[in-house]
Amino acid sequence: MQMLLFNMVVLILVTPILLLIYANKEPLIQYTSQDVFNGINFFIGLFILISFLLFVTTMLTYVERRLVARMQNRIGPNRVGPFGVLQGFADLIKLITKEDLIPTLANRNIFSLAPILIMSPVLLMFAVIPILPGFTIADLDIGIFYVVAITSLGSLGVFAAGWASNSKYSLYGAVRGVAQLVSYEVPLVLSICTIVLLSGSLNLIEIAEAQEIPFILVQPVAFLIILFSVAAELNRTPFDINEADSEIVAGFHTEYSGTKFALIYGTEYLAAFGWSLVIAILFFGHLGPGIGGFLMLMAKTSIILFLFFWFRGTWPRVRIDQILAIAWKIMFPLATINIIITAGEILFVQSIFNINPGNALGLQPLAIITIINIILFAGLLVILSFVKGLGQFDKGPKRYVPDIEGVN
Amino acid sequence: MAETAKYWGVLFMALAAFLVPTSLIFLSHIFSKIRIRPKPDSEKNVSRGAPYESGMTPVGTARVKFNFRFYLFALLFLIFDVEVLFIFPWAARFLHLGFEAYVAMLPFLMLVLIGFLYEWKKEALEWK
Repeated sequence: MQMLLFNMVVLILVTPILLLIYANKEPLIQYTSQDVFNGINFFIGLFILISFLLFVTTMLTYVERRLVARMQNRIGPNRVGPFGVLQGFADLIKLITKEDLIPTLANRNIFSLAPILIMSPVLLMFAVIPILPGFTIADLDIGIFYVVAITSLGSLGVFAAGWASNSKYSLYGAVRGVAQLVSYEVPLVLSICTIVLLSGSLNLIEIAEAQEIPFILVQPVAFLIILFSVAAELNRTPFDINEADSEIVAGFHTEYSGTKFALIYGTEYLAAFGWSLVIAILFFGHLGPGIGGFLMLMAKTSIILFLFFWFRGTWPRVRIDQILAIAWKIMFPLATINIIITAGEILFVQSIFNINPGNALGLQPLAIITIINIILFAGLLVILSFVKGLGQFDKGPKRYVPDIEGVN
Repeated sequence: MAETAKYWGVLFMALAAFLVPTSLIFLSHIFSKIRIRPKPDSEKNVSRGAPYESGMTPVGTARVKFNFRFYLFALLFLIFDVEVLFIFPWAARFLHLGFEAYVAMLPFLMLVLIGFLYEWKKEALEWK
């Protein structure tokens, strides 16, 4: 709990900057093309957003090291600045002033382009996310679809990095990474579809406002599927075979050093922040107005981020065949059946409460869907515990078992 | 009009998203010009520029063959991602469409699920 609070406090450190600039502007501006070309407001907003994101990225590298250190009964970085909070900035300066080594056998152009290819989609993702309510770069009607489409470009960068390095570790890391990213995208998007079904919109703000009951209660299965799929998309620990330190050094970024490594490393944290924001918006209820809403959103985001860091401190890594089995044999059928069930429930509720087609579901219909879904979720847990978890999916290569008398 | 106007924001965000990593790399180059960071000398020193293979001399080329199952999973992804694209517009308008849309979508989803079970039975999802 202490750690959670600590995480939130660090994230919220940057609020005063935003407060100073946007305190007098209620309601916050919605940008149109005229604002883009006439007003300097848009570019100030863009600049603040980008600096905020880079600041958060740098801080998160520190926060994760500190939290995981506490979980492993270590102290973690505590030298640079008070409690070591400036560690991230020290690392950044160190990495930028380091030698930028390009292997002689590498494809130089693609090698240099890959970090940009990895980072740009993740930054672009933040264009539609309402970090401050009303303050979005582009409040698109297809918000969540845009997020999914843009972030899937990241696997291109991963493969470019791995292939252009011309190193075996990099290639294996890239191939594993792409297989994993691609496999987890299907259950992720299918589960997002269930949320879209319930809210009737693709716009992130409208999805948040449709939550009379937070969708984490309405759709616990979709929440878990999205949580683990995102963990796989971010190469977080239970699914981090593509940069498994003990097998393939650092995976696709083995050959990277200096600034380019800093970009790839920072992007992981930036993506973690972005996806946590998306999950918080999709599942944790209304956005709320003004600065209070921003603080609440950051608090919700910190909870998800803390979950990801907690995974890192707790779980061992799973094998490639197990990873793909989880994606295709558990999550994909579960997500598809979840869509069918949810659509059926919506029809059922619409006919009971006489809701006209096109109207949003109110509090009581959502409550009924919640009750049904929680009962189904409990049933699912019971069934899964009866089939003994992953044991039946474990059909990997046979392990060497020593032939000792009395054991076999 | 109002909806298309929003995409100017996306365009400028895209420019910013391209400029941020590029400028960082450029900054690093400036540092090497003014001798804050060492210049790359991988051309001079053979072992510095060699691909990392745990400290050993690299064996053969890195363009090695990899397991064909990765390719298989990429194909599976293509099929099912197209399915997902088909579901998205249906899901966004479902509150308006009602019972007919459900009946129209159900056979499609069943078809996909049956195809998926067939793949499972044919051991396309196994890793042996």
